Amino acid sequence: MDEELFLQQLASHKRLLYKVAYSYCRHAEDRRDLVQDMVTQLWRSFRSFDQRVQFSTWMYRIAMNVAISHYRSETRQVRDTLPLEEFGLDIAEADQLYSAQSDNMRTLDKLISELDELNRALILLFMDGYSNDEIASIMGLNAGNVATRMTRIKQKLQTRFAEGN
Amino acid sequence: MNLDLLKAEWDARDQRLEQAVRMNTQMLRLSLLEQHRRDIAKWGWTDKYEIITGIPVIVYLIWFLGKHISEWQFALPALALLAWTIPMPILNHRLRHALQDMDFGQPITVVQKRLAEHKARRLNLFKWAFLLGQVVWFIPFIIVLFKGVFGVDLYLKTENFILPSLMGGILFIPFAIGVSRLLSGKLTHSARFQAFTDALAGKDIIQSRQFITRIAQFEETPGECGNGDKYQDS
Repeated sequence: MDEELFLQQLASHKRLLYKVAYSYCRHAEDRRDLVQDMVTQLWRSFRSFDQRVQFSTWMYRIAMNVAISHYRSETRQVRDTLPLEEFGLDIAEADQLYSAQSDNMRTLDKLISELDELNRALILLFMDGYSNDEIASIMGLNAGNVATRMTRIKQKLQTRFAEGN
Repeated sequence: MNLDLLKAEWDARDQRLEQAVRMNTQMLRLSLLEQHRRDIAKWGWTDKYEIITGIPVIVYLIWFLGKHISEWQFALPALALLAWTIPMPILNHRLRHALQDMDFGQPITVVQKRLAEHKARRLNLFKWAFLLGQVVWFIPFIIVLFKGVFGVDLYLKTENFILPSLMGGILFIPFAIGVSRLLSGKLTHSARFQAFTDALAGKDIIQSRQFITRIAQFEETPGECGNGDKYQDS
């Protein structure tokens, strides 16, 4: 039953995994590994999932924690995942979709990838429509801090975008 | 560029992404089952290897101690070996499982801080185990091995063994750190060797501690009490 519920929720939010993986990992091969690590960690943590929390919020926390750790190579020693060809999440088409996007989106992705790992998490959550309170809860910050940092990041991205053009 | 305006384009890409990420439920179910089976098997192959090799060594050392308890020159090396052989696998096991049992569903700053602290502890353990291994493990091992297995008293037979080995072991510590510092960052073609030299040189430990500081600064609202401003946005 747990497994059914998990798979249903995963199916509804699977795109979130790709977005986070894409932002933290530029190499397609590593990205597949990263998505697999995320699913493994989600499944491992699902027993302690508090149903009062939104699944997507919880999933974001785990996906970003895994992605940042992967980025910083902190979980290298516990990466005991299954061979890739046996894995049930195929992201090849998503890779194609992201490589054939508009110039604006390509520039935005590039600028986001130039931010450090923590600010990158903030901007991803903002772009996904989360409020400052929700971002604060996912990040473990206060809402005032998120608001101030968001203003700065937006200004920085806009300036860099203008410089790029 | 207006980020708020780009959100519409971001959302449209999101909708297309929904179709582009494909999920094979049957295959995923098998993967989860296999992962569950692995998680239940709390004792991984590293733990099993350490138990299989460690138990005979401990049994032998206890037997050796019992036999030579009144001869301090043999009892001390055996005690040093015991003091090494028993806690090391326990520490390794605890560090490995602390990471596996970590709740990744906690807020990002909380988890990342714990991970960085864990990494610093793990690297410190590896660094000092490697550097002190020559003095604390290898020399006592040779003394106990020769006495216990061959009945040879190395203190008498090879007068020049103990002191030079001890000196060599002590000198090895600054030498290994110095060489690692020289090589750290230079041998980029081998990721494993790079990780090894970075760990011995203490570079990885410094990076982990810097990251913990960065997180602490990130948790402070910029401009609120000064420190938050030190944190760079990029």
